[in-house]
Amino acid sequence: MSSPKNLSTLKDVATQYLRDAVGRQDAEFRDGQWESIAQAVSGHRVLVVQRTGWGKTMVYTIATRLRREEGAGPSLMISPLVALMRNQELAAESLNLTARRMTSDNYDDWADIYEELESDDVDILMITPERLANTTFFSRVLSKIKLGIGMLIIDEAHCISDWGHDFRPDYQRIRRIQKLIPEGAAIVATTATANNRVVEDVQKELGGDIPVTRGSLIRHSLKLHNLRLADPRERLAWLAEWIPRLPGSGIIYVLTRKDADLVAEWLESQKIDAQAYYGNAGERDKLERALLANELKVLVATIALGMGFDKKDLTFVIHYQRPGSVVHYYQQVGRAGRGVEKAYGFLMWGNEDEQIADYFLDNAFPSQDEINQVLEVLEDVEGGLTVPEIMFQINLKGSRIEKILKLASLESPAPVIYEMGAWVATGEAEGFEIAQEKIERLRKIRNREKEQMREYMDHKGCLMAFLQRALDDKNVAECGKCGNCRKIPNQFYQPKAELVLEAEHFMGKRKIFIYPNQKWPASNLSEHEIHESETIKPEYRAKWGFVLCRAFDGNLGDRILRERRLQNQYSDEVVSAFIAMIKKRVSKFQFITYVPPHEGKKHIPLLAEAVANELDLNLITTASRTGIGERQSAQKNPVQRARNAAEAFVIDYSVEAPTILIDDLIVSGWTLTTLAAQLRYDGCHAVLPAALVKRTLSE
Amino acid sequence: MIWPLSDDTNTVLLLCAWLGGEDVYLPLEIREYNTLEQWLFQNGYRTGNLIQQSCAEAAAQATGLGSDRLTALLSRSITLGFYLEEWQRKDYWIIGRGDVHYPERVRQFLQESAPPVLFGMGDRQLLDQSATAVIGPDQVMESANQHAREIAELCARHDRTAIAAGKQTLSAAVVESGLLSGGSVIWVIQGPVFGESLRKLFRRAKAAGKFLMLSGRSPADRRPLPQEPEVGRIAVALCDSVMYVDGTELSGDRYCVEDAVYSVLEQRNCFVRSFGQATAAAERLTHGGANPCIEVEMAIHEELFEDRAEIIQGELLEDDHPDHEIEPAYLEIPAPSKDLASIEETEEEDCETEEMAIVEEQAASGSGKLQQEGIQLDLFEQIPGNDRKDEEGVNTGSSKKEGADDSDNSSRESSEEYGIQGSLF
Repeated sequence: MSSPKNLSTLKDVATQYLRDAVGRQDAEFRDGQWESIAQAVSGHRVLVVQRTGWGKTMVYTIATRLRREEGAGPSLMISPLVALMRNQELAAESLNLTARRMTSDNYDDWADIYEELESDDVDILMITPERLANTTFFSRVLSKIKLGIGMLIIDEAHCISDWGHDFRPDYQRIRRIQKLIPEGAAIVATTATANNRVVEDVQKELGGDIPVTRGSLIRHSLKLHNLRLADPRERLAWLAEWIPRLPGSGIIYVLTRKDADLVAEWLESQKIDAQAYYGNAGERDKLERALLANELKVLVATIALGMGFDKKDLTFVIHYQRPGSVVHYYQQVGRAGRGVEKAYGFLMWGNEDEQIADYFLDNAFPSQDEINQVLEVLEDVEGGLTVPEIMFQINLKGSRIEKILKLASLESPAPVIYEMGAWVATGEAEGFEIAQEKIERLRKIRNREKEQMREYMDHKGCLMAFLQRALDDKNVAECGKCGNCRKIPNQFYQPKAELVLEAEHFMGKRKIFIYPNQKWPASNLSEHEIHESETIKPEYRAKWGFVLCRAFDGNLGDRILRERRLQNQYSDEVVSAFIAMIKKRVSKFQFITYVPPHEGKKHIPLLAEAVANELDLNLITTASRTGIGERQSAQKNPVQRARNAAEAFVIDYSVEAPTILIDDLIVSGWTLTTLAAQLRYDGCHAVLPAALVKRTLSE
Repeated sequence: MIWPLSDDTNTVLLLCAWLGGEDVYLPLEIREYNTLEQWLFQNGYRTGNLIQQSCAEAAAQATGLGSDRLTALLSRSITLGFYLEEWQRKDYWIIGRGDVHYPERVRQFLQESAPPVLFGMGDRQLLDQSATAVIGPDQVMESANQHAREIAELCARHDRTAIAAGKQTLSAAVVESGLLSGGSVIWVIQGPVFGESLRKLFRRAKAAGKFLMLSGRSPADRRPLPQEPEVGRIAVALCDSVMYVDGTELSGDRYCVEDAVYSVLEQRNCFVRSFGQATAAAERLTHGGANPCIEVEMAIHEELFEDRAEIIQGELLEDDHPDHEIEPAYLEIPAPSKDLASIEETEEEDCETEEMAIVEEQAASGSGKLQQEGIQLDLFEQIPGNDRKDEEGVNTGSSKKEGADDSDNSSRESSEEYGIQGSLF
């Protein structure tokens, strides 16, 4: 712990570190920066609430350096933002510190990091909160740090609060950890976005008298616009028209991967350099670097492109759909304009937004009944189960089961625990009840956030001022730059009609594939030989297939679902479109068969008949339903779906020649996979699946 | 309230707990901690005061423990916070030697060698109940294991906690048998107990408040067994009586159970049961005052216990005799032989005194069957001068009898409920 006299000397040292780091010998600390450093150096706690770019990093890197010079152990930084960690490594280097991160995208480096920790060569270790759940964190990380952790840095500290806009289950552990840390430990908690309620809550959690450094959140360079373009074709057209006119590079935020693909492909078709951002970490890293190097005009990203992405000259952020809350919007749009004088934020929203938002809300928390199902299965076994093994026993989605296990394992004491590669019930499992009042409170918060987002979309006044008020910024002022301050009429945002038509045409002709499954979701799904191994033998696999369109596309997909529900057969327009697709993409197949319909339904046989007649194919009824099993739509996870499909059909007539297998709706694909495997087992040389419409499981 | 821990316990953990990475500054050994604690006490400090730099420096200087070492150990507070949260989530409880919850028997019996911190899991109330330690060397014959199982069963039947120590087949027999019989078990081991607690039988017993696991070592401490592990000493400290189950000359005794039993010969009712030739360990214990137990016919004893319970119940139901007070601790009275039963019938009021006299006489003469009965008596007798016995005695009149019935029922139910599992290790 440093005395006041020491602190005075240390300030001079710290100022020199700052100057060396930023490369300017006249640099001085911003208000609150040194005070925060001094708290940490003295072994106290501090909460820093400042906008991105204010210099929070400088607080904990300089504090780390000063503490390390006094002989303290390395700092441990917990952050959900992997992208930010890469920037932190560079920031630490500027202070001659060694920062290392242990994230899912650098497993290969971990062995070296363990060694560096052991030899005390790491100054700042960065991990995600999820890493705490891994037992190796204790056995391979904490136990390697000889002098103990010198300082704890909690990034995105608003996640500690239940009232925060981000509910990250693993932060519950951080909340408990910091409460259990005895006095006299240096803890720096930082956040860029927190309203009064959240700040007070975090402050209370960290210790009531903890000092808070808080500044204004306004970003003067940013010009905000709200665009009322509900139709996806209009939004695509607007993007194609306006992105080439915007300076520099930017980000388009979408809510789903499906939309990321749609928007990126559309922009590429319009000769705009765009890429969809999701998928594996390595691919994401490559795309981030491309954007940082301005090799891309725009990255179309889900929220996977997190808050940590820091590109000073990012000039625009466009929301293709509305985010979950005003705070999320502020965080995302705030990526733009950090180091440039002019930047733009465009918010669009569509008819599908509400449905997606409701889906996320409805699925945010499991019910007590679902929790009981999982715990009962685990309680009944010795040694625990893996998620696929649980999926075999109960009809719940894999992601749902994972969420339940995650939430339950974070309780204290925990009713389940991940041990030796399996989930195991503990003595707390019996009669475990999740705190419903807490879930209800979180649900209310999310609903309120949704309402506030709607208010923002309808807001007629200054948009920046609205955001500042929502975040309890004390310095609210009209920006004079946003679409509302400048009174820009909505017509100004309307795209050209010919581009709207082009977008419609583009959406109609996009190829949608059916990827042949290569593995069953579990072994021993049935007695049939096709299920004898978990891998689907190549000789039983289907070929790549095609789907005409996607569900809820605002176009043909919506119409097909409507006709499927309300009519006895598909309209000529739908049938013609399907025939056109098959004609264009499939050749050398002389036979066609179909998925046997449920009793009383004739959509599929009639569709197959029409295709056969039009394309002069031989129509064969190869299979019938056994009557065993339930509706596929009632099955919640791949194991249940594949098992249900495994029992559903019997091959009545085998065919050797390559055959097209058609269905009207494809969701998980297990029906087509199973039937194709059965046909192939009975001697069919090739099976090509084709369907009218593809719906995702969440739809 | 165990969580959050007191400042004192937090500080003891910082000083003494192994959290990994200790090759620079070793945590304090018990004797070092004792020296420090003594200095703190003499100077009017509490352990938690060591967080103040001035106090820590003064203590380091006075005790010769080294300022760098103390400072380094005390600076592990963030690391400790991570471990505490993990242990809390795994449902450990942690008690420092200065806490009111620290088991008084361990504190009193082990005194300065009592572990500065105890790590446990399960219902702590078990620590305050009457208990029998069924312990022995590393390896024993199957007949010895069977004997241990029967004693554990008997404990369950008599609402008495069985205590096992260490990770040997004998302990496994005691723990499993005790729990499957619906009884309560304390298992003292050296090291992390969490992994063990996940077994179906154990987690259910723990949930039912019947199972407690205890260790004097931090769950993060993965060091091999020390020369003199405290497992055996904690086990004998916690019990009222001890049954030492003998092994062979080649059995080994890594938990120093023999020494632990030897050290309590004067304070606890200790028995030694050998199978075949008594080992040198058994000889040493019997020469030191432990009662040799040559042959215990468990089945007969069980039967007699049941008979006696039925007799007393029958009397209660048929004849609500105002003078006929059920002896408060009747289930701790040995299963009487026929001779004893006849004495009881004729001299009912004095039966317990009479029994005790006979048992003591037989035990003193070291002869035959009555001695075995005496063993049975004393094994389930609480140690003299223990307040808990009196407290229990006050409440045990009819409730004890009901307890006996419940115990039998719960024994059957528990066996079904828990399911019979595979071997302990």
